[in-house]
Amino acid sequence: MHTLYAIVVILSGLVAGGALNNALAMGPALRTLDEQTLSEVQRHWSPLPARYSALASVAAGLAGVALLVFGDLRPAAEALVAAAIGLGALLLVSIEATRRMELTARGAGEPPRAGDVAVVRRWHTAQAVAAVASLGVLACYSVAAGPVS
Amino acid sequence: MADALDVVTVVLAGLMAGGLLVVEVGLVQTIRRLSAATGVRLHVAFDHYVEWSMPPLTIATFGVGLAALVSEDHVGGAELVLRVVALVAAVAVAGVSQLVNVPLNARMRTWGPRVPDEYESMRRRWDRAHRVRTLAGQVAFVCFAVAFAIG
Repeated sequence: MHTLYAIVVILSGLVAGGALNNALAMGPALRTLDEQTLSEVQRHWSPLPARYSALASVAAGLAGVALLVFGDLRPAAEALVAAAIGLGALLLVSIEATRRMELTARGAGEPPRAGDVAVVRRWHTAQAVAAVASLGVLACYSVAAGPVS
Repeated sequence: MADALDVVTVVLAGLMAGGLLVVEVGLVQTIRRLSAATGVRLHVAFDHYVEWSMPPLTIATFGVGLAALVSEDHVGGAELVLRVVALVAAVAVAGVSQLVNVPLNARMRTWGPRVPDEYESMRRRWDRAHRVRTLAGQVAFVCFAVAFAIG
């Protein structure tokens, strides 16, 4: 059981740290770029963090469910349920924002289209929501892991 | 009190490790695919904002992790080893950052629109240093998390 707790804390920590960095640094940095440069940068950058964060979120969720099913629920059930709800919200926000973001992807040299900037702005808002949700998930899992010791 | 410090340590270490990892997986790979001029613009803009979050996170991870270790009455064996390794790894993150990445960032900030020829070698050096501190950050987080789970 200790191993499962360590796994959910590590996975949710990596997701939360990435989402927080995206919200606090990458998002503001992207907003300093002009539309043409932003379109080029987003085409390369936006799919990359999802390579690990989506997988880590799903794995953390599955490990959390395993803890709920097989673990000693008395001390940690509420925190685990809260973490599961947070993970669900995180996945919904991330998947929808990434899907919309991919609509702005252009071939090299193609000009941005009307509405791209609004989509990018919503994507940044989604990143902020994802950062808060994933931070909550990490805190819940960490608190849940505590009473086991 | 010690339990609360342990939870805070794990959360901070997770944020530090995840922040380093997303830069390695996302920003470093993106900049490699951009032209030098665009890459430098993105790098400098990112650096301007990230210096408000990552250095304090790293210092806080070390500080709270040390406080948690000192405030525990009975820490020994594997848990003690893991906590000490985690603290050393957090120091390595800060050390590599201050010795390599921060000076390179400062030089890039002084550049105008024309990117000097030395940029490619500087970027490779920055990337290597970042990979080292990312690895150290992951080691710190995993050690803190495992020590917390088995403690």
